[in-house]
Amino acid sequence: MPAMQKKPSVLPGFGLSLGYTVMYLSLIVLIPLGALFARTLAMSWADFWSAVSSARVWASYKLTFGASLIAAIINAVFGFVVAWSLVRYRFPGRKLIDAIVDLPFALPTAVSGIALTALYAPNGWFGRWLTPLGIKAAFAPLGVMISLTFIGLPFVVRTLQPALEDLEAESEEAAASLGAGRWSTFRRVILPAVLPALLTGFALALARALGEYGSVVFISGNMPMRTEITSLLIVTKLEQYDYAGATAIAVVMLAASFAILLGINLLQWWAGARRRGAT
Amino acid sequence: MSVEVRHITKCFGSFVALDDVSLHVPTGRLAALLGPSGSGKTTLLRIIAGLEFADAGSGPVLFHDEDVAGTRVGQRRVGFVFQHYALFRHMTVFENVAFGLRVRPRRLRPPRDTIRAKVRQLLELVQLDHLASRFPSQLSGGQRQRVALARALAVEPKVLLLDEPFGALDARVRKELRLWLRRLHSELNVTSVFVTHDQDEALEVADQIVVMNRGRIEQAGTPDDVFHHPKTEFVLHFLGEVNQFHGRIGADRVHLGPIELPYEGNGHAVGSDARVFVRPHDVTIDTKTNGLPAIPAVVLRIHSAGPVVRVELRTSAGQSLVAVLSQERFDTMHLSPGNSVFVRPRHIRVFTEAQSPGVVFGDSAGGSAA
Repeated sequence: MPAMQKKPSVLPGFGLSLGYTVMYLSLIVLIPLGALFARTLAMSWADFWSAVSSARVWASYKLTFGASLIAAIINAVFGFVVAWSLVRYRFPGRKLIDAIVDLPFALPTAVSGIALTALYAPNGWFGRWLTPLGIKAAFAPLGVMISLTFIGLPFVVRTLQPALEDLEAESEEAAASLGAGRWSTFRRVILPAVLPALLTGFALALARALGEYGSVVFISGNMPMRTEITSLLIVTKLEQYDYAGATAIAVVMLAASFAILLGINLLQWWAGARRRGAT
Repeated sequence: MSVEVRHITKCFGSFVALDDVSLHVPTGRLAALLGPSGSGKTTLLRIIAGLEFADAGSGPVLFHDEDVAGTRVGQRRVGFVFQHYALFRHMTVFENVAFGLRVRPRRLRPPRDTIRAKVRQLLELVQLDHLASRFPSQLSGGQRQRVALARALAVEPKVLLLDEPFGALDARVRKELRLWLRRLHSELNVTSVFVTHDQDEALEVADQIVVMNRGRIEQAGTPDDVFHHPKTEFVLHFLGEVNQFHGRIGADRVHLGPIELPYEGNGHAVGSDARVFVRPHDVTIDTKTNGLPAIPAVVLRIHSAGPVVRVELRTSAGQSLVAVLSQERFDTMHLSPGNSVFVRPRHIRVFTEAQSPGVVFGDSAGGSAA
């Protein structure tokens, strides 16, 4: 094949590793997803449409995508702050805080769900103070958002850290010497440099939030039309032996998630293309 | 705009980077801070810029007799050029140069067309107008540093500060750029201070040289001054290769192994030990003794590929020394390794243990002091 000329390399095995990659991806990712689509093909178009567009399902889409988006945005902002202080400053307990960031990764989601519910329930440590203010956290959409923020944080912090470490302090000094204030140094010098990493972190946090199940089902209360997330709806349908309905909703989730991630990737490509140049 | 600092001290933990340093650079001068790494030269430059602040108790940083020690770098109107360029990687060359104008507060910001014209003009000045839309990663090191310089000049700095501006470039580009900087400086005439550890660069470019060592200024003066009249052994060593001998001070001469050289002592105690220094180009090699005081030596190696010929020798007392002579003279002498010759220092500088500045020029041939 003239288009794919192989460069001689000290490490052989291009064919083997590519073959392995394709097979592995097929087994782990593509075949299960294909089965999902195949399952829905059995439905008529009308059945499919009614399964994925009933009012209850529609409400769950809004909650899932809305809460995930807000949670990812919150994580992008505050994850940036966390990553910044971990990279830029040396303070006692820094290593500990750095390790704590990973906890949402490591905890079983059910554990974090129960912990958050206990905190934010009307008689919990936080809920006790929020209830008199008229804020209902647990068993409300706010609770879903809190839980999704919790599980998404490490994605933003861990993708931003290397990018921030890579920043030259000198270019900030250069900006300052040219008369740029702190805000414009941040907006014009730091932010554009780490934007691709920030977008990646945002996308990962969003993707994780969209698929989250375990930590949300405890805190949300699972009230149809109000606090029911799409993943839960799928489980509910499965429990009612409505396999076709469940896979139909799953396909919609899959398509939507894929579209969102593709969009973010394009955005990232656009942000990165400016810097890529000839490097 | 003159630049002056008085009694600046700066410590990093227990390390004293600057120890009571005072310096004055008159308006329009191009000064070089010259010293080995760790001598405090970059710290001094950064304190002048406002990127670093002197310890409490230090004196003022004066720009044109106005104390700026309390103001931030952005308000000082300094152009700072970094060793590793510090260009904004996500901006084109044009945007990099325009940065200083675009970040100004709205009421001070020039209109778009003015910025464009100004950036074009600066890019022409640094001969990079054809690369305006490139990104820094697409430029060579020398080009990047010229962009950095244009960017610093865009804000019309009153003082230009350069931190090892050519340090990261290869030898040929360095040479080109330093001549170019010299020309640019005479064109713009902005007071400039640059940091370097390369004595050739400092001697060639600067009109004022400040030799620094261990957080102190060893000597400040014109290139001629510091090269020909070094006040300390450090300056003598740092500004070029030098041969060192042990000697002893006599009444009107200095004893140097088997020979004596006329020397008008200036206060060195007679009989005290002295260190005698001779630059390689101040050493004459003779194949026969001709009555003048000379030290017998053997030729070890000859490096003749270059504008001058470098000869390594060993004296009869076992000391190594280096002599440099012109190709013409070398051709008439037919030297080869192993030859026995006589070496004669023409210019010596004498320092005694007391470290007093014994800058003395003895010409052994004529016996006159310069």
